[in-house]
Amino acid sequence: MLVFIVIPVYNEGAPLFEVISDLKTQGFHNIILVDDGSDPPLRYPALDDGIFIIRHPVNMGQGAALETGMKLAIKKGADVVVHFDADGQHSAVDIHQLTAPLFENRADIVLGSRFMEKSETNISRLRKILVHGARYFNKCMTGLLLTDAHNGLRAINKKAMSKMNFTQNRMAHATEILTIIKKNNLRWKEVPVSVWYTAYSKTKGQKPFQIINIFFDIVLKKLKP
Amino acid sequence: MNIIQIVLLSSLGFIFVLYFTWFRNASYDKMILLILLITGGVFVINPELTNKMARWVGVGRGADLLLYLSIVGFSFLFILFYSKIRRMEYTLTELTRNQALLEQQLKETQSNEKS
Repeated sequence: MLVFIVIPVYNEGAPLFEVISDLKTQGFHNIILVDDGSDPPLRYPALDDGIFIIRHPVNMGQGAALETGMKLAIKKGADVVVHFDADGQHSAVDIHQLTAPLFENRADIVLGSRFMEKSETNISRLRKILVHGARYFNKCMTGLLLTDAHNGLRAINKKAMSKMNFTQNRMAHATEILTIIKKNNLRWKEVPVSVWYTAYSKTKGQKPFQIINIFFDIVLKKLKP
Repeated sequence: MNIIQIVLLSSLGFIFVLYFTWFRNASYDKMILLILLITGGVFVINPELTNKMARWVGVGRGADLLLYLSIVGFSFLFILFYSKIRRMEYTLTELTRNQALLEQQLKETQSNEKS
């Protein structure tokens, strides 16, 4: 099965190259870097056949970048797409167990969780409280109660990919994915993953109180355009 | 006529000219704005009318009634504009994505031709 890793990139520094190197070490050579309007534009020093850079001329948000990456992956014939963060907080090793249920046709989408047995994380207490609040918020909005919320590490098969048309450009796409799962009766599964926050990832990643923006994005989306 | 009445009537007249010459909107939008402008003009010329209306609906002063109506009006406008912004954002995303995919394809074609 052809696996593509999709990484949204916005003004990333050197850790991105370490992320790519780790992915290659784990045997993942098809990598799509979606440059979401970085200034200056993303330049990857060692472009090879497996690394594709696609660029949004303006910054549209992580959700929009992931969808663009998936569209390109579909064009390249991907069977499975893995969403992966650029800031080094995810571990490339986890992709093996994330994709296994897809290879065995036991699920259409596999979501990484920081709060299952065998998960490893150095998440702060504040973030943990907010994430657990978000889990129940997601339950109210989508009917699905997961062990984690807004974990960016996930693997998606072809069937699920075809349903992933996000209306949420920014971080709220993570909740929208659950709505899509529910609406299309997609088979889902959670697997434990490790997420390590570093000083760099804390400056780049989602700030704990961005959860408020996500809340408003989701609630206001109900006022359909 | 007071100075404030002149200022307000001139402002309403300016909005009227601006809206009907600059913006192309649906006829019902124009109709709603026309009704609002005429109502505003009548209230400016005859402020006592707002007091009478306020007493009739159970509010003490005309100014309070106008304030309450403005809050409802602005909330409605907020929803209207938010919805329009969402629509524009959606269109922009689609355009951006299509351009990105086309450029990617072009880049690959050019690199294949070179090799």
